[in-house]
Amino acid sequence: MKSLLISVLFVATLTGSLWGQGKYLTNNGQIIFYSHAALEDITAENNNVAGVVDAAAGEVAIIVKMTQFQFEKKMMQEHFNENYVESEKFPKAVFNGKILNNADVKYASKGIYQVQVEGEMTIHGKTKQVSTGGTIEVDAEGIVIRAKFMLNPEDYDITIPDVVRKNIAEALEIRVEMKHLPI
Amino acid sequence: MKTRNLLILLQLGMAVSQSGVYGQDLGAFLEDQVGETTDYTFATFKTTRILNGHSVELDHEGQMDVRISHRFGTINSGAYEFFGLDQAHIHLSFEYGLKDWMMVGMGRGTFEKTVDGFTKIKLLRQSKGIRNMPVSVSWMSGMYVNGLHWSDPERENRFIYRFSFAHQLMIARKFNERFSLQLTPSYLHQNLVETPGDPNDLFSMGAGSRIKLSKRVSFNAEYYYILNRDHQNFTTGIYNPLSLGIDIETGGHVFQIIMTNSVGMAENAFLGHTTGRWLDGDIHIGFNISRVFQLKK
Repeated sequence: MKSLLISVLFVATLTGSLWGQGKYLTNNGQIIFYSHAALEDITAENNNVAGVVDAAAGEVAIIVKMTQFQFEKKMMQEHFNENYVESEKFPKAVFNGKILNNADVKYASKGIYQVQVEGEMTIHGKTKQVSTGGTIEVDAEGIVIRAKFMLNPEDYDITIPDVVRKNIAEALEIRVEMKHLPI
Repeated sequence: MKTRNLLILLQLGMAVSQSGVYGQDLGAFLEDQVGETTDYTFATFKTTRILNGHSVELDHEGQMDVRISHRFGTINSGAYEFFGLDQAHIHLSFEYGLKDWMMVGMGRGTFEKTVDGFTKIKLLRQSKGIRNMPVSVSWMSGMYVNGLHWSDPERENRFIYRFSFAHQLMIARKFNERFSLQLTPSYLHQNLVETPGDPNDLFSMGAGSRIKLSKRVSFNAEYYYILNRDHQNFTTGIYNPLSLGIDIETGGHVFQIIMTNSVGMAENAFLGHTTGRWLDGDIHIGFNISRVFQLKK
């Protein structure tokens, strides 16, 4: 029984250390969203985005704390959290994805690599299949992932009342820039 | 020995097979790595007033809030007065956020033709994460100047007699997405009262709450218990103000529909001069409209 316990522990630590290799982590990635509507432009910035890239497996995971989006107008920020994304019910947005052409990225040599990412995005408690193009830049310190894509809030059951239809765009532009460091 | 090797292989096999299609394992791994942040509570109340009295909320920096409040006469005034709708008492005010933690306001109310002004500061913000704070705390100090003609012009009437002052401490907690509660210890000083026997100082304990009914609608209630209302020499009968209302929020506007036994809307009025009784039907229907403009970015 004792030997069984030891073997389980041994395996657990072994696999843990194996997974630890070739991973890049960040806790201060940046996600900005832009809304260009007829009456108003809205920008919000989140500089506390967590992300991890598993270079060996070609996998990416991102966790976004919704309350960390900073708006120029604090009242908008309150409306965003209270009425739209409902941050108390759904505090986080999550992305789990795969780099489809991971073989093209040379994590050992500096350069900018075009990548195609596909995965599941969960916002406002709703999960959707998404895919986008982006880049991975390998530099001396780590890797920077960049992506730009459009997101339709209605896809995630975030309803925008008609009264503010001219203030909030139907599709938001999302810009991701996250510098990961090796762990 | 053999069984142990087998077990190790089994464990390894399981560890490998656990990785999902889109790396849910990596997601779980990241979950443990997410750095702590300070998450401040938002929208404990939707506007700077619960109903009549102040809430813990402030206008943000650069926000101007134009408020129009209105109370009809009492419901029990009967059909002749159209159940109070023939009478109207108003309170208008302009309020502004100087800083995210400081706001000022000026207003004019029908009750005693009062001009008022106040300053409100935020002392603590409820938060969790790196910084854990169970409550939000704000302080409000107001000044009220009675604009009526002197009731007794023969008496020596100094201008200073027109002044009243109120100080309130708002301690609030948003328990969850649906429920917020506030305690409001309050002090009102009136330089001039009806009779020499009436107390110049009134102390009260207020309690207010918000219960969210839907994304943009909430039910609010507010009660002030006046601690020295039964002062033995008190000749002017006053009651504890109780208000019930519905908050409706539509991006930038907050509309409140109210039932209250106080006709006045400023602190000097509802803390010191609530003469209506709910049980007698002295209920005023009214509304508050708040429109916020962002003057400075």
